Amino acid sequence: MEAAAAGLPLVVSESGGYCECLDSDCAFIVPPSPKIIANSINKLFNNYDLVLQMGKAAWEKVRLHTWDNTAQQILDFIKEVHRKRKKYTSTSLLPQIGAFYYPWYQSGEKRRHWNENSEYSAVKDFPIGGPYTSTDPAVLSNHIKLAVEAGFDFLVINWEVGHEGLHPMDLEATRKLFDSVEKSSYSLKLAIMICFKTESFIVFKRYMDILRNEFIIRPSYLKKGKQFPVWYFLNNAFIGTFYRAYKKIESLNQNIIPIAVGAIVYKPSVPKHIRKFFKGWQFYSPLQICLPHDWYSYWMNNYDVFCEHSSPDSIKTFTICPGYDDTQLSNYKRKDELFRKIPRSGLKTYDIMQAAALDLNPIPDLVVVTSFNEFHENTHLEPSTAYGDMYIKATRRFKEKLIASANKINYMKG
Amino acid sequence: MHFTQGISFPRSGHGVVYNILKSYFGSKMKYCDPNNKTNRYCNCKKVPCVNPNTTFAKNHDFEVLNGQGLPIRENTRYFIQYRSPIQAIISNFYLYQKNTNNSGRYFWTQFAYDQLDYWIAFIDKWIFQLPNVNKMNQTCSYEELIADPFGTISKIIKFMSDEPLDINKIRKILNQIKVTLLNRHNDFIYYDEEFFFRLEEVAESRMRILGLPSFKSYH
Repeated sequence: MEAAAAGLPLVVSESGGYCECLDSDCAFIVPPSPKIIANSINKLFNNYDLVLQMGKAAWEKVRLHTWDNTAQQILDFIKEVHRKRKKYTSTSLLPQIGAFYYPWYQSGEKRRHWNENSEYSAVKDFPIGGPYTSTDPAVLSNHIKLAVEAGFDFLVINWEVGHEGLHPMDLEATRKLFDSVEKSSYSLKLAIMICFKTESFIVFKRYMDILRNEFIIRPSYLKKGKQFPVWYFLNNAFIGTFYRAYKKIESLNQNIIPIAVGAIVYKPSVPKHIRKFFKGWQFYSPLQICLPHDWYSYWMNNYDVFCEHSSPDSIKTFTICPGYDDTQLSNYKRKDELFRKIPRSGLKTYDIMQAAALDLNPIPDLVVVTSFNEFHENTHLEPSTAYGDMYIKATRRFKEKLIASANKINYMKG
Repeated sequence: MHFTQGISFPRSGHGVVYNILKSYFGSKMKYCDPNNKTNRYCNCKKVPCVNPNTTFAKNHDFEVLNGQGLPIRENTRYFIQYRSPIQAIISNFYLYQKNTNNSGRYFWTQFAYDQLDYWIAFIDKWIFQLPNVNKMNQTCSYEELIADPFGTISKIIKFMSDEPLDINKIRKILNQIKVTLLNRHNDFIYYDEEFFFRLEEVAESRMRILGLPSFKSYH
């Protein structure tokens, strides 16, 4: 550094710290061989123009290494560490992992969601054992067993509520799933995600009452502290109803932790009422948000900005997914969607998403997998003819890594 | 010394072999390195090198995966270097981190998968297909080099030059320039036994399909 600061060219060995602050513009970076070092010195000795050129480059290279600049870099580093420590302080204990679950399948003559139409119910892959009915107790028992095998702490049951309400079979399947979990010896928990496809507040209230009076009170409903997470799909219908009946919706959410799920990126410009209402925020289908090149920045930005701007009682949520493919669905609404096929490529896509979840700082409270059994969008983890049980096993391994990583961070926090 | 086109998978020991060869051949070694700015004889970035006096050139065939890779020439003398992908990818990841500031498990995982695809395409082309088109080639794995530096270097020198082998000189050079294993993967910050096992299996199964020796056979 002193030689470079004096405007001299350098001959240095290629090991050690020289390579970190010098390059071939200003130095001969050579193996530690006397002959090679001598040759390099000779080259400089015989070429004064090269000495001047490299000497100038050396001075340019090190002139920024002043006391002030170095002190500033150290100060920035300390501030960054402090900022991260501050983030850690709001971290929960151990993260829990869950999956979005679909109770809408019916096999047999009156089949639902098993290829009865190409618009919205076409599937390419099938569960091992073939199409099933979501109210079948044997199917539910098997799903509970698989969820436990995958390491899930909870399942989030999806309710699609249209003008006519929730399909009666979906409600029945939900009830039976709660019954099956409570009869089992597993500690698996359940929660509800509501996707309103109507702006009718009457319908909204009816299902909120069912949710509050029938499900939240059940011992197997997922709890965070003394409150109960409920996921709301953030679509136009929900936002419309929300703005028309904000106060009423707020009062229906007493003791509830509302979590927004959808495709909207959280940012301070999201309307204040929405930001204030939701205590959690996550993508439903993170692979569809943007080009693969931008995945990391979108996912992390969404998470970071939410952690930074949300209230202290908020919960930190993140979504992972093994892949996405809805190209067999002919529904016109999907036609113009970008990113309709993100291949799984074995475990590659899932591994990458898991790695993002393991990079999160602070540790998330909940990681939710899209999905346990959404076969139309090919996001399912449920053992299938195409993939066997590889995603159940991969999820179990991910859970172990997530807990190990959280334990390590908690240990560092003291 | 014959002109030899070096084709190496990144971090497979090209640098150390070059240093040894440079010490052995001395001024006869005229090296073309497309990535280097000033230290080398030539950095024309062309394949083959535009300089008729060049005797050894380096290339990683980065475009092999997208079909835009280097053509295999019948009359070119090729020296191919490769390595067990995990070791090479880890070693290359350190460079990637340094050049991009992308660190963390996410970037590591994505990088590892992308590099594994590159490695498979590289091996298919330069280890498996090359001998069908070109008979003047010499391959060398990093594992082989570490296990037997003297034998491997002697083989490479014989391939590059018709002059009698100077065994004493090679021994002397190898006393000065140590060929040692770097980057043991268990020390790697993102080491993950199961993930590494899967990567290793992909590589090993590729080696089996191509009828090549397992990397484990060198341990």
